[in-house]
Amino acid sequence: MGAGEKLRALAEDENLRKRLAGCYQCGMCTGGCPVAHVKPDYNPRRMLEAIILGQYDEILSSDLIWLCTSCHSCLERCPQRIEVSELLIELKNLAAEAGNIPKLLLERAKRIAETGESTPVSKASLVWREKLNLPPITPVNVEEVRTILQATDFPGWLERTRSSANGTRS
Amino acid sequence: MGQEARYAWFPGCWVSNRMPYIEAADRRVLDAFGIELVEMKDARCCPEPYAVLGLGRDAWLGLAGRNLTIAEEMKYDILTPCPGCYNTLRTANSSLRNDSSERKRANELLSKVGREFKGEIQVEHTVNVLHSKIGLEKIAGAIKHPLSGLRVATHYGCHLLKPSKITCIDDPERPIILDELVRVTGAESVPYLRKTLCCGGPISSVDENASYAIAREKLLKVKQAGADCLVVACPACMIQYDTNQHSIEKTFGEAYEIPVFYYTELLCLAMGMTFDEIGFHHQVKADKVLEKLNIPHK
Repeated sequence: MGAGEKLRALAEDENLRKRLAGCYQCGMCTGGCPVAHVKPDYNPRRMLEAIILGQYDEILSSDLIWLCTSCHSCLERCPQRIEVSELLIELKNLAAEAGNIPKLLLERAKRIAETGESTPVSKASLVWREKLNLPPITPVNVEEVRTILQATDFPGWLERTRSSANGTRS
Repeated sequence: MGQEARYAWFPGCWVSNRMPYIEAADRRVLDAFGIELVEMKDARCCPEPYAVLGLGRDAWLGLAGRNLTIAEEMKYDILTPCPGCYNTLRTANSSLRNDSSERKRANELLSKVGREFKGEIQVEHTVNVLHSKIGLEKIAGAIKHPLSGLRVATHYGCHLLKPSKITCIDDPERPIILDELVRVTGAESVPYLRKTLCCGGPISSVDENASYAIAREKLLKVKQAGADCLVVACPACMIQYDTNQHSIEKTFGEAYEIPVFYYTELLCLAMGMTFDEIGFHHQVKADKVLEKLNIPHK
């Protein structure tokens, strides 16, 4: 099933219908959104509207979806208790599957898959750790991380998306 | 569960690999209050939600579940200085405890490495342990060098507070615990606008301009409030406000010059530790703060 079909299935999903049924487009999610404040193109209310109206492709192909910081203000403030930011994470999953994923994010995911860590140890921090009398960093069991990831569709997915990743927007 | 004064220590990638001064400050403070931090062998990336959760829920749940099982084996609750790790591990813990289908799926993945999620531990953040386990009274009794006259702006960090049904730590819109922890050091917590605004850090790798514009908003408000420094409880917010502060100044042609402290760094100073002991390897110098507090520094 392609990402578009998956989103269609998600949108037709009774659960999601229930989750979105209460949205009366008040815009509280957008009003409290830190990103919308500096970048008016980014508009969570409009994203919900698009899902309700079935305009899936527009959402999945837009790189705006990746601008959510997951600060969860919208989730806390929605008068209808729609978990907007959680829904946006599901949409990011689908956009990623459709090959819409920022390059740097893909690189970070790859690093986690290969090393188990989201950021490598910096030389400076090794010096600081010693000066600060901190114990050595315990090694991570990368084999376990890889084995778990191998059992998910994460590696294949990394492979599939590698060629289609977006550049950084700045 | 677990012994009250012992925790499985989960510093998270950014603190252990990039910002060990946060780890040092946490260890010094917690040690002074009789809390023992036990190393979590083999544990690592929580995993980071922005890259992994945004890319696939199963992978995310499997890796988070793995970290949780390591603490379960140790029979200690997890303690982390990072709200990102706190949020990820608490979200995963809650899903795996309450959603039997997610638990089944995660345990299928975990069985490949001989692990099983049982749901036996909790996940705590430093600020919460200080505020509710150790308590303000005990902390007040340990203050040797009150930070009188210091005007502090507090920044909690979104993932410490929200989603509130997961974090269960404070009111997400009007939080008070970090302000109370600041006041107990003798410093003043100054009110300022847009206090619960996100730091913008998570999107810095996607849209740097938007990310910096969000951080700028906060830095301007902190400066307008006349605060001497900003106190955070999150390594990612520290990167955004401290490491990136000069770049943000350059981008907008403005000067903020706001020193940033992780909360326990400030507490270390109030507890009489020297500036050298906390190893303040930050970008924005804290000289003005130290002079105001009459704390010797190089």
